[in-house]
Amino acid sequence: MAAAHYKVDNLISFVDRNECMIDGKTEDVMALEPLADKWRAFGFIVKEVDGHNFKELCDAIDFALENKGAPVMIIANTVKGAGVDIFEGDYRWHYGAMDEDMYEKAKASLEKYYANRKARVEKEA
Amino acid sequence: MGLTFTAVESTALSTAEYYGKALCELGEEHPEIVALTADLGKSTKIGMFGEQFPDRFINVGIAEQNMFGVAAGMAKAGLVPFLSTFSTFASLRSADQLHSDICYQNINCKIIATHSGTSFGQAGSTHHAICDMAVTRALPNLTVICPADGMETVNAVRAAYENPGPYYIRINRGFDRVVYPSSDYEFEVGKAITLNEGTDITVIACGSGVFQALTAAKFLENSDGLKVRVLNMHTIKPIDREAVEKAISETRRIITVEDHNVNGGLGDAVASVMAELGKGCAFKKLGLQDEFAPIGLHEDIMSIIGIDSNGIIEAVREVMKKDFEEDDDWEDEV
Repeated sequence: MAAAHYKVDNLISFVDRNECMIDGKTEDVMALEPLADKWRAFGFIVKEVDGHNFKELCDAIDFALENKGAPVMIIANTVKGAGVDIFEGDYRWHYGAMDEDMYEKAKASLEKYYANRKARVEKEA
Repeated sequence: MGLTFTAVESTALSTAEYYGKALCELGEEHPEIVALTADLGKSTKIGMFGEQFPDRFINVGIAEQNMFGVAAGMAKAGLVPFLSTFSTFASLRSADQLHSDICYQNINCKIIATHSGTSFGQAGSTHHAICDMAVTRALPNLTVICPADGMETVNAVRAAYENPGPYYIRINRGFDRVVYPSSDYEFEVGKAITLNEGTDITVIACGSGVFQALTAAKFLENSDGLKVRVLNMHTIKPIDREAVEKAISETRRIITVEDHNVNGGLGDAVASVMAELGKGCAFKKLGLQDEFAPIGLHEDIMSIIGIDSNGIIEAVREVMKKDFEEDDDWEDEV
């Protein structure tokens, strides 16, 4: 409210929108949607991006830097635990400890995830 | 009333699980009990009530201030709300709502705040509750309890239901060392429990400090031949003035132990009684010395800040060395 009122256009904010809270999915426990409209109602200019895509994030930041007259909110849509298939999208992994077996699985999954990302980025470039 | 919880379970359940069980049991008997949380149903174990009574359970999301307002309305309508979140959120984030919506209205809300003191040590200072007793002690109408373990939590939760008015009960995350093997003992709000008789010095403790004080007292009896009185001061407000005054008069040396800042908590509550009594006494407050705690496991933090048995033993020896003029004629002092 204050950011829009004072036209703080050098304020760039992010929401890590992973759709999870400790007790469940946000939309089940306490719905946030329509989130972008809520920020707009508070006078923010809203950009929604894929939070796992650096190009989209960089473009959104560039947009925000050039923007004048209002604060910008970048809603980064993400998957909680991205890249670790045994945790991905599971709110129960807000907090927890892995055993050896899970650690090995998680590590292997992350390596595969990064290899795929690297291949995708190289292809796009 | 209710079941007697026993030692067999006490090693198997965390303190919060005891709370969850006790609340479910109360819920079966009393349909006016409702439960609220702010996205911490599982962590605080109030979710156990939610699973058993889904239509009497409200999760407001991460919105503690709203939770207090909603609970106040429910209490005004004749329900008995139990609210659970972490102690630091209950006492600070929603302090204004606790003050104006609940304490000022003097309504029947029971706040069972978990993860108190440094018991969620590894989560860091944002999740430590080191000034919740200072805040809640200063709120009129509010009764403040810091139980020693799971069994005492059961008794405190039952007492909170049985007595009208707002209650704030701070319990630990995880497993507490067992002080009471059964819930079948005399627990009275505002009445300290003497766990060890002694005439040389009194250690007044609450919460996780109680087990540590008892351990220290047993050690000191064997090694130093000291008779250490141990008081479990489970009720922080109203403080048991009589027990404190008796300890001052009979032992003339007092140490307080709390998993909390020494400013505004148990130590200061005891110090107030002492100052008003006007009788000299060697005195030391153990707890966080007006600083934030390090990040680590609870037992390690307790050791570092000197509120474990070793820290208490050291403090007792230090206070025993303090020399002061014994005045035989106290009666004319005040």
